[in-house]
Amino acid sequence: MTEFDPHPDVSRLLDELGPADPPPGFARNVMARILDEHHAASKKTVRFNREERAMTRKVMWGLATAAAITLAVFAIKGFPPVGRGTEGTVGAAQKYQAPQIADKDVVLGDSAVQEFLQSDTFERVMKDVDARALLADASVRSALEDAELRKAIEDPDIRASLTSAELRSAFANADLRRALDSAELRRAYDAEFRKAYDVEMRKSGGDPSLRQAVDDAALRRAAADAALRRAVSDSAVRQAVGEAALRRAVEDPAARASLADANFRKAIENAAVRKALSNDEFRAAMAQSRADAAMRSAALARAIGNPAFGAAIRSAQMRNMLAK
Amino acid sequence: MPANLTNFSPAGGYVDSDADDLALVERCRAGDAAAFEAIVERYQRVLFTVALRMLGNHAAASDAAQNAFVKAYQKLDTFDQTRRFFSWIYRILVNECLNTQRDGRPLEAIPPGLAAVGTPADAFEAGERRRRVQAAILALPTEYREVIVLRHFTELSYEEIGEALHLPAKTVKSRLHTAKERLATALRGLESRP
Repeated sequence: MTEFDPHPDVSRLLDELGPADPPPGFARNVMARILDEHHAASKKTVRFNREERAMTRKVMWGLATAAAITLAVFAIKGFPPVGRGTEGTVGAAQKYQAPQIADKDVVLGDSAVQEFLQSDTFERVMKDVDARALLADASVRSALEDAELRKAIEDPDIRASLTSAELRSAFANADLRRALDSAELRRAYDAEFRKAYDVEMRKSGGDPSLRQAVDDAALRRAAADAALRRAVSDSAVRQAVGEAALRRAVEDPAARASLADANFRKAIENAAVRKALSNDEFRAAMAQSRADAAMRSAALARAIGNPAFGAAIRSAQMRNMLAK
Repeated sequence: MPANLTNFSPAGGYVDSDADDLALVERCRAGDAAAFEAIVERYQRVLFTVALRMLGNHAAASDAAQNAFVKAYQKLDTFDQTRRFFSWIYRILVNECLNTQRDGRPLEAIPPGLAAVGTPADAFEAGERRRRVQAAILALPTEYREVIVLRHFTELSYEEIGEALHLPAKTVKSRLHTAKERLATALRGLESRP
């Protein structure tokens, strides 16, 4: 570029920032979301066709049964004379028969589940396309069978963390899972963070212009760096986690974020959340475009907090309702 | 420098990519979703960089860049093939970044390159400098931030930035000038190391 640059220093400083690498697994996550949507769109078409065929079969059986009953009644009582006012008779027989056939398809659960599935709370979930899509995923339903996980995600910060690319990326790697699972590492990190943050505060406090430019978040970042460096040197941590996993944790921005971000930390402090995030299918479900909106859905949060939700999520009836 | 360039290409710098992009877009439109992977591979680094400089937060940048790719895929049918694909996807990304800002999500950044672990004082100073530069970028009003980020981290021409942001090239140039003036003021006294 040959044009005159009036601020070469600024350009050099910007150049120094340079490009940044996306978190590991970024392309894989994007493609998982895209392929999920692609397959979901195909399945939707197939399911629609299946449902359409099933409905046609039901209607045919309904009509055949109604006709048989009508014929039987007429055979016993005699055929009515054809005349004015009798045109609606067959129609009435069909209307009467239809619910009997539909009842055969209903699988009844216990009364609490029934009550929940017929409640406004669940109706709101059914009307929320994002929440409904998320619950339709088998891995999500399976994870939500765990009462501890349901309790944990009553916290909106934890719900939001579950869909974070950072946290999902960290838990996709076995080494990082081992590191984040380690209470020793988390404890050592926290202790070192408090010390390092005090040091950074004092350091920047002496330079008002620096303090103004970097703000508190930057202090926290600097402290987080220092804390992780020291925590991984701790012999108890090394013994518990192992060299390879610690090295990976230090190098990986997703793991660093998982330790440094207050909301992520709330999430990974919970064993049920860690267990859910360790499941590949659950993480893939959380990577779907609707998962984020679903996790912010008040309707879903209310439903999950309902005491009958645990039993309902295991029921075939709820599964069938979500699949429709 | 030829006109049709993509940047941050992993091997060997800049490549002419328009024809490849269009071919991949065509395959995606024909139902081959996997063809989009090549597009993701090609642009992931530059899109993530733009998002990171716009938002100053790794997690938010990763989400914004992912959403931009997913939205681009969903809207491929609306992509006008007479335009450049990368201008189009940058526009989507910039919108995503603006939405993220509007959501008011707290931006607690993670420092670039903790790779400096265990390195001497130089690395610490460089880290401080980068933090101040990033803070100064984040302090710019959006209209200046987007042009400076696109110009410096994607190497787009004024015309290409204008195409991405729906602005005349002249406006891009003038905003860029103002953005640099503001950065120069904010970063006075801070010197880069060669």
